[in-house]
Amino acid sequence: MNIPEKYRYIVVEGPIAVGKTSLARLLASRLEARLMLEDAQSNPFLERFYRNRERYAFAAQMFFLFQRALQAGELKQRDLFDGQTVADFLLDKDVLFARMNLADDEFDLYQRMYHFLQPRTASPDLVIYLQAPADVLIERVRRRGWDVERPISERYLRDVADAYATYFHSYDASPLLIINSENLNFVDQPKDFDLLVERIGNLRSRREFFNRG
Amino acid sequence: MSSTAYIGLGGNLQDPEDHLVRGFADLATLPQSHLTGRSRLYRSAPMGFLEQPDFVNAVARISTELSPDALLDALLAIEARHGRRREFPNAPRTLDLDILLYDQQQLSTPRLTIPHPRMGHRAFVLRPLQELAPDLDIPGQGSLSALLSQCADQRVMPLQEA
Repeated sequence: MNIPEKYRYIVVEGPIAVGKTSLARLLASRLEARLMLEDAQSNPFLERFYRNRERYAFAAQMFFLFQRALQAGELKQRDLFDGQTVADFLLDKDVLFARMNLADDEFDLYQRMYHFLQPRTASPDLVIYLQAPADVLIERVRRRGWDVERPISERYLRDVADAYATYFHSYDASPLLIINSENLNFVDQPKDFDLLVERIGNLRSRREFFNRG
Repeated sequence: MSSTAYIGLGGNLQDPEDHLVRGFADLATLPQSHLTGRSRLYRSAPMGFLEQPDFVNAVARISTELSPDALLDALLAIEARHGRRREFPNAPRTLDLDILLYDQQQLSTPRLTIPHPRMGHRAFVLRPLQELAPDLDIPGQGSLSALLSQCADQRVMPLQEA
């Protein structure tokens, strides 16, 4: 079973530590597609933001906005219709985080910058939204033990997971496959990954849900 | 603390299978909730008003921090998005969502009765529910297996869709 070629541009999204990057890598390798990674770690404000959200939110969001504008330019330049691309982020994700983290006046300024830079590209042919309960996310953040993520609070992880759910509840820009990843391990269980590939091949509705157990 | 709720999905208009599949996705994105299980889809003949297409039914299990009332509001909003108009009981519908169970609570308000009062007599609810929780007890109505054996005459066919 393989993934149909009509899916030229696939995006994997979801809250912190849900497994976006691992799944994007697996998909890109199966499809022999280009892999485009968000690279949040390169944001020099991120760790300080997790320590002091109010103080560093605007700087962190500005860095991400410019990074996203560059990535959008890169996607356009490479021409999406020449080969397949798998990414571990939606270009729109920043607005979701900005709305959560910025004060009203900061968000106004952010939106003006956003409309000026227009970090946009064609809508994905498929968005895969990975979910996991907050306590599973917390456990995964602790286990991977990245320094930058150490200050993340449980409250913040819950807020992010909820912001994603709300965002995707009314998302209609692309076909959407929602996965409850709680009982799925794509990295260590090739069978789980094959199951997912088969499911993508059999999609018939614009919004579907997939889980196991 | 999260509660476990079971939601019945049903529809018989405009490609009901598509409405139910999208209905699961809508339930998966409810706030403060997780969709933790879904049954297969089942086809059954209509009850009550018979001059209408067959129904497709299924059951979802969610883990939620929403109260029963807040959950009901969220479900009504999803129904409205699928174009449901509540015209008369047992009328044709695109997507119908019912709270079947909310933990082991028994609840009766003007808006909401939990467990769903007629669920114990309906194979199209009990069969998919059995897939998710075979040993379930329906408060005030009895065990799932006993209730199922009482409606063995109702024809409910699983659709081959995992």
